[in-house]
Amino acid sequence: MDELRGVEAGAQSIGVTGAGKCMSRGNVLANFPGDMGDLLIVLTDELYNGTKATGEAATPAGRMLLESAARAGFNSEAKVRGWVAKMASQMQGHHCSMIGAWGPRTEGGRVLTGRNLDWESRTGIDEHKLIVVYHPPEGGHAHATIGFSTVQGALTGMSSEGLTVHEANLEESSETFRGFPWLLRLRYLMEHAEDLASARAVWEATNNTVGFNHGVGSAKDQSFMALETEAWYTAYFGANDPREAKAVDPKSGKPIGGPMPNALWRTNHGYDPKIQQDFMWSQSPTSNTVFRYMLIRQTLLDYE
Amino acid sequence: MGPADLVNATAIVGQKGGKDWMSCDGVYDGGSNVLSVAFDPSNLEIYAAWESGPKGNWAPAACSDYLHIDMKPFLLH
Repeated sequence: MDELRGVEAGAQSIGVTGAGKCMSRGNVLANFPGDMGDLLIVLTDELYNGTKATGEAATPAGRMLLESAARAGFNSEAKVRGWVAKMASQMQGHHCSMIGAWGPRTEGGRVLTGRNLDWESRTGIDEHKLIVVYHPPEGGHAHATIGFSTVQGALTGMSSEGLTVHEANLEESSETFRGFPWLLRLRYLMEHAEDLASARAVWEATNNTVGFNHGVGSAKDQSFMALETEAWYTAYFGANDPREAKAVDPKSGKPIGGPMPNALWRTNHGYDPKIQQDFMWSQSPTSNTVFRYMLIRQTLLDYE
Repeated sequence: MGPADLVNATAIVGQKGGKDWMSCDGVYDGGSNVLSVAFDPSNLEIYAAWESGPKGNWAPAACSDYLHIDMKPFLLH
């Protein structure tokens, strides 16, 4: 909040208003599900859970949303659902990917990591590319975020400890706004963790919001860890995990995994049984996400 | 694999919009790759690319120039 107030004050000093609000909205937007239709689940949970008995939203955030929606004329659950459905029809699906390779696969055996953000394109935000370096004033590790201005947290980044953070959408039915927004959480991770073990401990100290795949690369471990997440649940993966090896598409029964030693990657589905069970999109071998998973796998094989 | 190979592996899977994932052929309808970054964390170096161009001349990050930046002077001072 201090940062938001500082951004607002700094921008106002040069005649720009609303910068803090814009950045705050970015934090909210980043926690939206990747499919706008799935936003219905989060919004209706936030807006209407607990309202049946009391007529009030269950959370302060929910009350704020209800008031805003009412002012805009959306004063019923049906109207909110209609609005989200209209948004869904106008927006692209959101699909990201991440990769880590190390050991015999890389020069000197050192871990190399990567991340794609596949999101709304052509919005004009490319005119506001930005790398931000943070030196926490009260201790913690210096870290850099790579992305755009108005993004307060980390779409991706790297710390002075050689810790890298990554994200890819994962549509899970267990979702909530009542957790640590991932953009800020990834920054918090870089600030407070030194390696994969401490990254896991820091992660487990707070709750997830909506479903996401996350990745953490570590120079100290020369390795990469994947986190498949949904509200109140995280599944941790290293390379060549047996859960990934035996995973199948629930509908067809066809295999969809292909883990390998000294590499780990994720697109927009998961391999933990609970994460698979709660997944809302197709896990077919021909789905976009499984196709890209296999594309990364083949690329890694081509480099062997 | 070296850092350039990891950049290549990352770029291949970025959603460029064309049918050929290996190609930056200028056909980017439906492309959504707005940011593509590779890291060499042991050396604190990054390779970062962003989407580029206005709507009519858009290119995905994976088909834009990757900036190689040594982050040590910024992270370790």
